[in-house]
Amino acid sequence: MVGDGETNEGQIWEAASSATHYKLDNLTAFIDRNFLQIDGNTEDVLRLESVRDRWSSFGWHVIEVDGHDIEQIIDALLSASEQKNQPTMIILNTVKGKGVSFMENNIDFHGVPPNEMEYTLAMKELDAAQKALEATL
Amino acid sequence: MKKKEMANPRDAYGETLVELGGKHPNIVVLDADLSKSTKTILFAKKYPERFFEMGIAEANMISAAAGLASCGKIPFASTFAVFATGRVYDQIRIDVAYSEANVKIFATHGGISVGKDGASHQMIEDLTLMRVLPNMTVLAPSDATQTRRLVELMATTKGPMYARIGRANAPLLYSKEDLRDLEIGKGLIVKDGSDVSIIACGTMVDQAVDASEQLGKEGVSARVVDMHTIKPLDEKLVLKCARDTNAIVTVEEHSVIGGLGGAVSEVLAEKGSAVPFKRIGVQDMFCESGEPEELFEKYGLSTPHIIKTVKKLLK
Repeated sequence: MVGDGETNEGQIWEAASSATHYKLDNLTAFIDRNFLQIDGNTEDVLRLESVRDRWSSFGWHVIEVDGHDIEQIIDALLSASEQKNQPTMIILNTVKGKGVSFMENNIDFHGVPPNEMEYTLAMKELDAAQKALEATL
Repeated sequence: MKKKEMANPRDAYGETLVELGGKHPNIVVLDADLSKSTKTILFAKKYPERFFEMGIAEANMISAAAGLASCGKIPFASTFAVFATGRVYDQIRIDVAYSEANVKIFATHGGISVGKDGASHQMIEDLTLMRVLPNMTVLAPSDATQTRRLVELMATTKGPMYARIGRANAPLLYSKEDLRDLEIGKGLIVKDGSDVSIIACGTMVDQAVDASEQLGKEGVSARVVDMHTIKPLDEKLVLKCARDTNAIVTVEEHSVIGGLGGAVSEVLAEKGSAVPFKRIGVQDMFCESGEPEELFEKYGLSTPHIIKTVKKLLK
């Protein structure tokens, strides 16, 4: 699992080269594509797009899914496990802080934990979301 | 002076890997596009399925070695000392030392005797960089025979380890029999003496022996210690030298900061030893390109320089 901002690092691409060179079809990686890193939007800090084209040009099998949809993720993993002679990168399109109104896409929560009050509020929202979800089952 | 029998420690490394490969199916070897120079190519030819060419991507080589270690393999990762340490310090720090991964980093072309390659390739900080890392064992074999024995011990002793040898042929100091009981962390008294102790490592042990012989002719009795393990340092032996002799000189083909000289001075200072002490090595500077002997002369690592330093210290 790699963060999107993390792929600024050169070593990621050394590993990306190595994995295709050695035809590592038993390797599947996720990239958490939420467009945020500490200094701001990934495209402002050091452009990453096109993430898909970069990985496929390194020889990876690339699948892009909604990172908040567990069924899509399972399907992607099943597809990855059938892949021969190349590793798979699953791009998870995500929203940082998903499900908590004041945290969503808020860079202030990238590397700083919520305080006591924020935690209580966040848990309240998540509990409510969970109850609503359970009611639909 | 009688002609010395020479052997290349790099050949010794490559040949020992091949021997060990037969005994230990878990040994795997990684290299970063320098296998012909580091001699890991010998292993690659014999055991291609256990050799990983990683290309000019040292960071990935170290991390991959750590991954292989976590799966129970015994990885030896090799390249030149300059690329094997400074370039990949973070990967060694986190993936190898912090993780206590059973990774063996074996570097060749250490020190200034790579010569003409110049400062960019003359690694004189590697012992310091590796010594400061918790969990790391640091070795500097002095000849081909000792290289063989230490590589065997690296393979059979668990934990993160770094070893460095030079590029050039080196005089043979030991027979196989001499080193049967060699232990990591236990220095060797190569030649005993009562006036001064010359504690050397790697390529400089031979120079120290020469200096000791010359000094003997001039009535100075010099002990020579081969301190093949920089960490854990044989503190007992250092303190024994401080007690037995009137001065201590360290000699290393490395910066005087933080390597063998640094380690020995820390022991002496903390144990309150007042023995006169001097570190011979590269001063705080980058060196120029040249023939190894020219460089040893210019930067104060030659036998005459060792002799001069000892005499001055004993005055």
